[in-house]
Amino acid sequence: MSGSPGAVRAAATTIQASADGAASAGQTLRTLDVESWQGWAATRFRARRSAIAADVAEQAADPAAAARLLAGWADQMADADAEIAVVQDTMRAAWRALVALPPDLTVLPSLVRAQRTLAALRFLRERGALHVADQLFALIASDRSALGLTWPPDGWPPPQSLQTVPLGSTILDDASFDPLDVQQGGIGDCYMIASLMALMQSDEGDQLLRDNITWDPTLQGYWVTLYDDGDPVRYFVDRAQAGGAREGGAPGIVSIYEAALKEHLTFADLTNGGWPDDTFPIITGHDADEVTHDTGGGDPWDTGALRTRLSNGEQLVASTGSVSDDGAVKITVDRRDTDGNLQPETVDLHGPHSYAVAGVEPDGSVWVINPWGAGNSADGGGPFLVSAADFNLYFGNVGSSGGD
Amino acid sequence: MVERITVDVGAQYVGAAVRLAVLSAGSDEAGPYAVVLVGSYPESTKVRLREGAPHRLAGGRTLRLGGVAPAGYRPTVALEIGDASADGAAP
Repeated sequence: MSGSPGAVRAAATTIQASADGAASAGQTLRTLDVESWQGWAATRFRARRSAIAADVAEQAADPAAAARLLAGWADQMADADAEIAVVQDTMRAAWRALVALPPDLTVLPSLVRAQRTLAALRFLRERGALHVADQLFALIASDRSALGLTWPPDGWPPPQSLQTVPLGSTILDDASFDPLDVQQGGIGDCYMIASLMALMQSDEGDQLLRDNITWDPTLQGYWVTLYDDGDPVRYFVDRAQAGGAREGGAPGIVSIYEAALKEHLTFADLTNGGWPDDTFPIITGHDADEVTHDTGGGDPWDTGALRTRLSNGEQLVASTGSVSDDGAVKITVDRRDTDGNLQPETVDLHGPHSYAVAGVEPDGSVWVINPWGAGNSADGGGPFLVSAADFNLYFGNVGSSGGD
Repeated sequence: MVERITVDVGAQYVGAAVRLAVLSAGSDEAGPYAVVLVGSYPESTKVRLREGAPHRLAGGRTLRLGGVAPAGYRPTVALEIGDASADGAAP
């Protein structure tokens, strides 16, 4: 196994010593007797001493956190190595029994089980190392002295990329595959959530999403198949983003895909926005395309072509551009009441943002669903009908899952 | 109790005390700002938050802007949902 608990613990001790040194220097500055000092420089030094001492002491915070992380990882690694040693002893004993004369074939099932357990323990140990590496990177990225980056602000919870929650084992059994149950969270991945919602509008899409996720009872997580230029790539996912997408208020299919996309794209890329025609191929493995429209040009969308695409089995996501300085514009839309009649209402249309397309009417008006989901602040969730005029004015891009 | 969250522009927060969506964020001559849609439709309210100028939420709590992610990041805001006792929050 790579990685030595002793070496990691030694590194933690070294880093802690430097943190202690910085903390001690800050304390020394704070308690230094400078009242008897005289002159202009002494006056200036006295005035600035508290700030300097605070700065010096603050330099100790990140190394101390890094030392705690490494010390904790050394303990976890030692525990994992102890478990692995026990399983290896079991395997050796079983192997000796198997090759003895006469061979004891009854040990074969336990040997196979032990092999699986060993593979799982080694896999989880590697993932633990990656998680610690992520946390160390977050310390650097949130350090005001490195790269000029300070996010989140001092004293706030760790970066959103690192806040995760466990995924339950029954998500595939419990999932409704209903786009109306989906809610985007605090991550800027509307293009991805809307693409998943669009796929959930057909049985074929539901099946594709289901087929590309497998529960692994040994590792207690999900294997997710995504595609890189049409080639399948598998990711192991056992946690969802804490502030991420949900279904019916709990982690669901979209949460699993969001976590896998985070691995595929990296969190920074996932959260930095994107386009549905780039996202569909990653999820489906099939070619996708987009249709664009000049919202300021005066020409209308060819919504007849969009209707044809829908009737050919393609799933569509429509995206707005920047709609106003404050990110939203009020428009009047139609929504079906409980009797099926269209009723006008005013909603906030957000942009830039992606909406799943639920239908296109012959008059060019378009049914869309906001990935923010049920009860959201802008439109309350569910499908609403955007007039052809407003669709021409605010929507500049339609991504298609492709029809083949 | 104070709750500190970070939300990307174009994304939302669904909490027990409040639901909100961040419509835009950035910095202008007056400093960092975030435009937030607070509450559930159709009772939601659009608020332009500034540092040091909290917004009073229903139920007596406040919404404060903690910061806007520096350049180089997708606009992301840090928001603090807390008690209204600290200072005079605008309704």
